[in-house]
Amino acid sequence: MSSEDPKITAGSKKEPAEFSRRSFLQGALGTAVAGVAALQIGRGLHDGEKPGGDDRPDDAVSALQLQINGKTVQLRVPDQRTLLLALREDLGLTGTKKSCNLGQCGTCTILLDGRPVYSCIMLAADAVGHDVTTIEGLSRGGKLHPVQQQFIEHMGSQCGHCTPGMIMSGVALLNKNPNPDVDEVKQAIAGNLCRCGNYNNEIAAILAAAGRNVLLGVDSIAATQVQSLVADSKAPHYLNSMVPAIDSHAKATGEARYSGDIGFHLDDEIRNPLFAKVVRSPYRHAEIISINDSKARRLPGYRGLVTWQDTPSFTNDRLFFNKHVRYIGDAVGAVAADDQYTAQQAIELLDVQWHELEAFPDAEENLRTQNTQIQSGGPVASFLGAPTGKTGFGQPANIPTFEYKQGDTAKGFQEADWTLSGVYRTPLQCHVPLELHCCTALWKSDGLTLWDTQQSMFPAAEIIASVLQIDPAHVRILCDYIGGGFGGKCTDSPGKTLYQAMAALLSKKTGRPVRLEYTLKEEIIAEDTRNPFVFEIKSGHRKDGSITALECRAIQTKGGYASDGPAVMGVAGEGVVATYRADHFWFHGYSVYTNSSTGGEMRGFGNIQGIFAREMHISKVADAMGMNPLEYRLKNMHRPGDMCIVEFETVEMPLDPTGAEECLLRGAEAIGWNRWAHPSTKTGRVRRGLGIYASKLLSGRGTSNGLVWIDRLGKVHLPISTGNVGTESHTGIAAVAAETLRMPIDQLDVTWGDTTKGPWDYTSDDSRSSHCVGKAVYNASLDLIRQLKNAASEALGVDKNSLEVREGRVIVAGTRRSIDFRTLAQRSTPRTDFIPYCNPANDISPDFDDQGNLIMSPPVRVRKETEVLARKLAQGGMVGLGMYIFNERTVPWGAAFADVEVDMSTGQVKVHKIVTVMNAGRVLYRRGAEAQLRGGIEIGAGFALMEDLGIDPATGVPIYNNLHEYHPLTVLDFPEIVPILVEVPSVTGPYGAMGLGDNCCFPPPTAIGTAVHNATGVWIEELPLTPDRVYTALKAAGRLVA
Amino acid sequence: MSLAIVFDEPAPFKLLSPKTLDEASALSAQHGSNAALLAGGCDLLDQLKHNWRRPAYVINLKGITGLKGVTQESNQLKIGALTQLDEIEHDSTTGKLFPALQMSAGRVATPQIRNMGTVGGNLLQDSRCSYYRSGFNCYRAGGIVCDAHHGLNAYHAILGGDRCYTVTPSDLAPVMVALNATVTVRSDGRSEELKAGELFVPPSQNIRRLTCLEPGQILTEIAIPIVPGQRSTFLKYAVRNTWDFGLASVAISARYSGGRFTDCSVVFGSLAAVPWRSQGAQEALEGAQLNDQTIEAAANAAVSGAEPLSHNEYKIALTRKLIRESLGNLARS
Repeated sequence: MSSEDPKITAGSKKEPAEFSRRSFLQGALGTAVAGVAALQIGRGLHDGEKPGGDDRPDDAVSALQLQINGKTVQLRVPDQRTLLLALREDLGLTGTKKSCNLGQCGTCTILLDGRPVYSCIMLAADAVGHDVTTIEGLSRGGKLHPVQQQFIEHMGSQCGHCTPGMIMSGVALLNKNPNPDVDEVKQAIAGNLCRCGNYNNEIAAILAAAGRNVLLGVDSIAATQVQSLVADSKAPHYLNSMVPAIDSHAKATGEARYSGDIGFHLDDEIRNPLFAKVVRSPYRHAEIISINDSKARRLPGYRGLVTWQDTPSFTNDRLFFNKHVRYIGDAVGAVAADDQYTAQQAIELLDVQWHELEAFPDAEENLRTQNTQIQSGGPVASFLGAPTGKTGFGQPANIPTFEYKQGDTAKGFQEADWTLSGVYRTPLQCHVPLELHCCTALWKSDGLTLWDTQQSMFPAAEIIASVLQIDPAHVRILCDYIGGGFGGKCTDSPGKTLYQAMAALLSKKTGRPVRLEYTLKEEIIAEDTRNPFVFEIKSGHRKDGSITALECRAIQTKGGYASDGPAVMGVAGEGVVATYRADHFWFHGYSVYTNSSTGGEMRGFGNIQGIFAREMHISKVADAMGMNPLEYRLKNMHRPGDMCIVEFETVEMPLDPTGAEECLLRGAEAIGWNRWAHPSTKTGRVRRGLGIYASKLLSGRGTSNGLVWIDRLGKVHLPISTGNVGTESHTGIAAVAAETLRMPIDQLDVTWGDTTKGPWDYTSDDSRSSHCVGKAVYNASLDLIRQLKNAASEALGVDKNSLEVREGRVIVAGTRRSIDFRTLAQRSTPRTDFIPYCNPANDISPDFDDQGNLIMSPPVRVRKETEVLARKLAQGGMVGLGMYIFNERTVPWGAAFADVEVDMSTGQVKVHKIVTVMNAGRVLYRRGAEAQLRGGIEIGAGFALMEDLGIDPATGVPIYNNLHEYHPLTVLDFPEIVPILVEVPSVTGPYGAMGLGDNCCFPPPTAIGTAVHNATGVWIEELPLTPDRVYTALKAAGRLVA
Repeated sequence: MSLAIVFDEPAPFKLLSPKTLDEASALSAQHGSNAALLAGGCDLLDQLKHNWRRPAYVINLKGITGLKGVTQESNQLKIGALTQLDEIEHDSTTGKLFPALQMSAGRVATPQIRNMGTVGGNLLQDSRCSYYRSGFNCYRAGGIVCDAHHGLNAYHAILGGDRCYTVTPSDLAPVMVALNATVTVRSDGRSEELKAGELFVPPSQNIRRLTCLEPGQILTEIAIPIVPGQRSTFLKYAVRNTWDFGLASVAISARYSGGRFTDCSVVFGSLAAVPWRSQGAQEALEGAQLNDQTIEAAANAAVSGAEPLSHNEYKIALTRKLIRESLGNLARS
């Protein structure tokens, strides 16, 4: 460990000064070390030494005079304070958002003398003498800046977390260049990441602010085609609209408050929270012996430590603080302090004793050796029945986590005329939402309040209550906006990281509200990721290519804990076997515990991996036969009416209409599939190829409750509890209520984000919000209409069947007689039964209960929390209740095509265009649906081309742990996208709508992977397709061009 | 190790704001490694936020006048070290005289970074090797191993690797060397001039640092000789089309008349620890006509002696492509 060097006189040519540097402490690398190492985390500090050396002034705080949005502001802040923190935490100007905090994402962009800069890597002191403009300073006399107005108009925000920074870059451009073209706009926002992939809308908004209309396919921003095959002739009034999203104003002004924005405003319930920091393992595998904070206690502002010893015990393979740590970054404790600087210093002064254990990073090895060192029951993670279940402690290597069987594949191979085998590998991926996890915990007399970045408010409340051993009714979760979730913010099982419990424990101990916010590296390393998979596929075929047998053995490098890995394995298996007709199939998948990053749930949830493996394999089959891959798919895909296995359940169901053929044919036409040529025809150093993808997709899971109510003033309220991650499913769900009640969306009071004010809902994941919550809301709206008609029939003395509901009134058809909602609500008596409305044939399906048991006929009943709310609201008006359990027959389909260029000398892959086609069933909100199709390319193409954690083979340390090397796609990397929405309605969804969200990120891995083969003639079956990987594959195949 | 505790805010320090260069240099000399020099802050803040460096003092150079700006003199262009990259990106004089410099400045990172980062800071930035920046105790950090060498090295050196295989992350550095710039360094009340190439330190000379400046020494100015008839070009390949440090880059300057090149400079970035002048490529071009044979000869010469590691052999092909494409650009300019 290096220490501070003595001063060196200038001009000396001797050995230059050694800057003090943290050195890498990990003990013996990868070998069995049984000794006890008394290691301090961090530099060697001697008693009494202050971090940073003795020559350190005690009080480096300066008075600064700043010009912020035209106002003079006085601040006293420490010299190391960045402008970003000064704006947000000292001035309460939280419109400027915080994300990577390292100048690698652009979220914190503000204007300094009109020029965009990253406020996170700028000292507040460096703003003195300059004009600072933030998002709050853009509007003039209450009138929004044109760029803000157009962001609202063009749905410039999905999750909205990049929006303020993006708008500032747009404003700066237009101030300099009032008439930019598309390329100039792209260059202007090149330094602003958008993880939702909403670049096209952002470009359109900025161009529109410059007076250019881009709705008509100008300059490579192709307008969405909607191919509607909807059977009913009535055109919808409020569905498929282009109105501004209901939360767009809040996002475009910076007024949207995300969980990290809480605590810095005068009107916040809490002020001055403590700052927490998590103590994490530097080892892949170790036991923690002790933590001692006696040195930290000497820091003024240090407030306390909680560890695994303070954790209430519950039965699970993972606790939120673990004594037996199983991956680098695994949490053992957390400290709290008055400010972030003290928290950092405190954690470094902890005396931590570890016992390093042998690391077992290799999944196949762990299976082979029946490893019980990571989890005592065995190397394989168990699936105990439901995604909300606990995960046990491992099972033996011969018992798969998931198995799907149809018939007997041995028999199928006997019947085959030929067979094909292949091995396909998919990598780790991180969500990297721009809003990092952040939660503030506050204990009050009536319980625990959490401001949390949370997609699954109600399950989270239950799980956190359960681990803290308190009543779930005493846990309140608040979350207005989530700055990107992608599945990483779903606390819907006790196997997740449960950082909220850490904050809650610290808050209980210190008696103060505690804010726990991740750093970018923690987001990447310590939070759950997407796991690596290996799929070994063997298929048997008749001469015509039809499948007699499809066999797959899958290994998932699970990481230290199960988290959602077993469920992901189930969906991966479905991804492999469920799309094409096969006489016999057998999938067996093993989620194997390893000492590496823990995988949880991430957009795609196993489908993106399983589908890649299967689609590449199917493409190889077609290639081996000399058959056009489009033709093969059309011939062999499942058709409506086929019996299919669906998510987890061994129950087989006949498929409803899927839109499969429509998606493939329309997409093929859009890419110009008739240009497709065999790779053997390609020549030259740079070669073009066309790729193809098609799949059965996800549309949801579980139960939803819907609640719509009318107050005594006649106002219609729609509280929604699915997390607002930026998909604009909230606008789509509002459109369902609007369509059913026949009133405009903007007349509905739509709210969300508070477990005390909304009906119970499951979570916003698995592409379920529009479909499942939408249907529950549809049912609730019908329930309300029933009550309105009953009441109006009585009031008007007419038959119910002659009544219509629209525009806030109940009308006698064909007459002018009507009665308004207000009158009816005032005359209503509170309902006393709380049975939700639904159509049991479509809306009630087998579902898992909280213990993980499959219930074949769940009761028609809302959850307790919904009933409590309904009871309260019924005192003040008319309440409609609905319910929907995801029906597994509802299966959307998608297809995609890619046009790609490969440099045969360097291995570089460039994607020119992706045509992405999705059957939405019914488009609820046009802008939202289109944005999903385009936006999914961000995560999908990142997975396919460039996202890589860089796990060092020797030590297991992820070295690409920042955004410079992890490479999320920027606007300049986004290909041209042609989105096509198809409407082949489902039987079960609201107006036939089906899910979209996950599905939109599936196309790129396959479409690009098959296009690379089409260009080069080489099958590359491992992702990501980095230049190194492609070059190496071309070289191994002897196909490099000099 | 640094990933056990993840810092993302600097440790407390006192910000010093000298008004003159000599005051700054004296403070730097006085505090030695316990002080850091702050220009644009794009690299320094990253290091401070990781608590990689914990100086008690940060010396802000931005309060010193006379260190910014582009001035044309009769036979040279002078650029103050604190000139921001976006000024170079848009300065018409620079664009006319030294297109390579304007092109490279425009390829650094993002617009925001270019509005903050300075020419001097860009030249003096530290290695971006992922192992080094993740806290591994490698040669550059004072240890006795290069973890990249037997690990993940897709971004590492194919030229001049010597125990350490990092690459220079600066896009401006190869241009300054190709244009035969001189840099002025001020310390102890005196100014000294170095050739641009002398600023950069290969591992064989000092494996702990990429540049030769020591506490007390401040880079103040870069002067580029104006050569009549000179053309220059710069080209950078990276994984993403913005933000990223280069996989490979090249700066070429030459006089070009009658279809022939003379006085050629070919200097690579992101391929070696220092800006790498390719004598072989220069000799292949000197006096030659621009045609396919010359281009291939230059490309071959450029990669002659290149030593790939386990994951970066593609960089050799990338280097050839760089030469082909940039020579074409130079001829057309």
